Amino acid sequence: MSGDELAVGYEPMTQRALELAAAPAQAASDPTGSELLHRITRVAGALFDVPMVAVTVIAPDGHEVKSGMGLPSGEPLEPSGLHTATLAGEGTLAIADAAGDARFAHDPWVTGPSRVRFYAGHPLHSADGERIGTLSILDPQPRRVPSERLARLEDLALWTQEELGRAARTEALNYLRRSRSWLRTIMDSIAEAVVSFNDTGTIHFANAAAEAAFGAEQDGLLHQSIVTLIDGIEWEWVAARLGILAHADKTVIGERLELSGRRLDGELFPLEVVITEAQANGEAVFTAIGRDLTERNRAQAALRKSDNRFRAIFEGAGTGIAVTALDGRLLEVNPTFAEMLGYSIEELLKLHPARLIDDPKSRADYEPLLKSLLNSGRSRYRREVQLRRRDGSELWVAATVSALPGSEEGEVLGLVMVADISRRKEIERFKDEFVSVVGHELRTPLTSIRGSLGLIDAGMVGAISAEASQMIRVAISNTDRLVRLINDTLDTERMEAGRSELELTAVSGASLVQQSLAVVQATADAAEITVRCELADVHVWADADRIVQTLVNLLGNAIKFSPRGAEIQVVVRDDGKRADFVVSDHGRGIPPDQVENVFERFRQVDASDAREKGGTGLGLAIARGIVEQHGGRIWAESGPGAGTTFQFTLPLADQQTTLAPGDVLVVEDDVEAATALREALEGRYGPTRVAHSAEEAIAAIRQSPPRIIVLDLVLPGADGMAVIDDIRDDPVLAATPIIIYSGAELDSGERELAQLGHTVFLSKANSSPERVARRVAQLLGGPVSRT
Amino acid sequence: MTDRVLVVDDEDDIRAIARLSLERLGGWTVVTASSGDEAVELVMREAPFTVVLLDVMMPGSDGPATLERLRSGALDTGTPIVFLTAKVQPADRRRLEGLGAAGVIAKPFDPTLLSLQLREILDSGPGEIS
Repeated sequence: MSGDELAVGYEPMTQRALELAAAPAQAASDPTGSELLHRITRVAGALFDVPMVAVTVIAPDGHEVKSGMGLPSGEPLEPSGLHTATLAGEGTLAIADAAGDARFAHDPWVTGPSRVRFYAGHPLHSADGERIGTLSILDPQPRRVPSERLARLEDLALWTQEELGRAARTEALNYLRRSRSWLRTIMDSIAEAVVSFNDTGTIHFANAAAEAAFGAEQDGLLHQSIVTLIDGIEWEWVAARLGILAHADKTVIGERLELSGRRLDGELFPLEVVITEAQANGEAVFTAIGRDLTERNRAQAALRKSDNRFRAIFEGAGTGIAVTALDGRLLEVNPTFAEMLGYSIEELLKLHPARLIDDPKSRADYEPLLKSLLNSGRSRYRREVQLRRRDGSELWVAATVSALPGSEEGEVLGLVMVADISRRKEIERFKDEFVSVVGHELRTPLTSIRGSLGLIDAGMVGAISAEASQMIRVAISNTDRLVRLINDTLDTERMEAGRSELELTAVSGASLVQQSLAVVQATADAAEITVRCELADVHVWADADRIVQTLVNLLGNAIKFSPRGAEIQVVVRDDGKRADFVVSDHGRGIPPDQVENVFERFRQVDASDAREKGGTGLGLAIARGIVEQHGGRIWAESGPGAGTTFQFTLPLADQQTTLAPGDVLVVEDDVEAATALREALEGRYGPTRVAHSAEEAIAAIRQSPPRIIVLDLVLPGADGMAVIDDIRDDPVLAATPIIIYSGAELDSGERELAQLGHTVFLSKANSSPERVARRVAQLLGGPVSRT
Repeated sequence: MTDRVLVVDDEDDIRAIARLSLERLGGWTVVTASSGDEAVELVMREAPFTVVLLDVMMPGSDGPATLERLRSGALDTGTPIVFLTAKVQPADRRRLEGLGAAGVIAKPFDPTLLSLQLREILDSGPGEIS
């Protein structure tokens, strides 16, 4: 091969290479920089007029071509000795004809499809001097390149090196940027303010929460000093405590600090901070994690305010209030409570409150009552209790006990509120006494007056003038009226106090009407009133005296308000479920707006009626009381001029109830009370079962359903409500009549909860076991026999 | 021999009215006592009486207590006892009759009817309501 063959004209190639190098860089948008490498390879190709140029780098499994020109594509590049030799050598390796060189004659590039003959390569170095690859020019034609020309290859290698380094830096920067952005995203999602600063106090990171807390825009905290964010603190102070200054203790690292934060606009706010320390690249990095306490403090202040308000209510309430533990111990009492009982608050907190309760039964009930209240779902109990003051005097209170959540999870306390009802009790006692005094003391002089008048009127003490006789009659009729008023008042009182007992028997409706007619016959005759009767053959379950009293009252009214010579009608009907008693007149009637009112006390349609008709204003109130006590209903129907119809219902007596032994179940934990009840009940109804707890009762009911239950609500463990709840879901058992016989006064809500089939509430204070026994027959709705 | 009635009442006025009423309108021979003790004494001393009209509410030995004394031992001659009472509730009436009274007459009574009421009770036999 001659030198001429190998010689090349360089000028035009150089011109071409310069043009390529100056061409607008298409690489601006190429992040990997490969376009720039391609430009280098193109320049190299033009400069040396070679068809092949390669930029190779050392890859884990050989050499990788980073950029190539004219290289056969799709062919795996095998490790080339040319390449390895270039990397191993110093400076440019130039081989004019590789096929003729023993070192390279069998190199895959030489023997492969590229058929390389000419080769010149220069090693590439990284920034820190490591060899990382080669830049090589190749030609299937052997040639010789002058050494001053080959120096350009070194220039190009340096350029390539630069480009590779720049691409690597860009990639590293991108990675850093990405990971920064992740970190920022994570940090910004944290609710706490995170600020990190270096050992000069300069902030180099702040998350969104920190920016928000200090009122900064995005990145607005960067490069600020950490102490600008804290009020009243110098950097020296911080530095000393962070251990930045020599001989300083790291006293605040990891400690929870409450500081005054300062927003960029100067506003101060309460700030809680924990500062941690870490080392990064040999530098100390401090990270402060903080929380703006403004909201928390505001909530706490609101809570404190509301606490104070309730405390003030507690302290200032006119009602005595006590908070008790489950065992009844007083945990807290208000001044009114202490004052009512004549103790100091300190004394009360030391003594067991059962000692304050006067009545032994209530005292024994106190703890179980509290427990059952708290175990059951009921909201509260109300009862009237007699307490004893420190000086031994008695005090009546209405106590309301309700459950109060304690400070611990699941803890329950009792809230006891007591209102002094001594005055009311005194008035009640006075009223009771007054009523009984009226009964006797007023009647005694009236007996003398009535007697004297009667004797004068009868001429027993000599003849009197016609005028005198007329006056005596006026005196007699008004004395009689006064007596009726007294009787009716006593009657009403007795009924309201629940002291009016019924003697229930099966009695013929017709006979009740006939007995009543006999009483009013004279009055009717005097007014020339005829009474027409339609009396069905029906037996009612009633107290004959009381029903006669009711009928006499209704008949008396009908006669009074009928015109002379009119007819009144009495009907007794049996509608299969109950008996209806109807008394109608053709009198002046009652205005519709007053039909409901006529049963109220002292509600006469016309105020003058009382005088003209000699009524007391209590008759219909008593009639309603009696009918309702029988479980019946009474009402009036009327219109002005259309006459008036009074109607009431009574239970029928024809359903005879036969009780087997054990059909009556008593649930009562107090042994004495249970015995008294059993004795009273067994006298009438035969063998009676007794359960001493709710659990026993439920078992007894399951074993054999009772016909009637007498239930104390306050029981040890599960209370009486548990029994009711247990049988409420059973359609048959739920209809069981029940007498709630309890020491506790129930309010209307509790009564509703305790309602089963036919439910009667009797309080232990007002009802004897004997009375309970009588109510059993009433509840069973008819005469009772035993098997 | 006319029927003799012992009227027991702590009120002078009422004794006077009952005496006048029963003597003039009923033709009774009336003996009165102002207390239970006096009544017991009179029954011991002046028996027999046709009937004892006994007030219920009296200081000292009241109606029911007096009845019990008149019903015990040698004093118990079976003389019917009728209560005179200001308590007129059916329950009170039943209670008093349950004690063994022949009947109950309510106060205030009509003096023109008192003798009649007493006769009705005596005629209807023991324990029945007039």
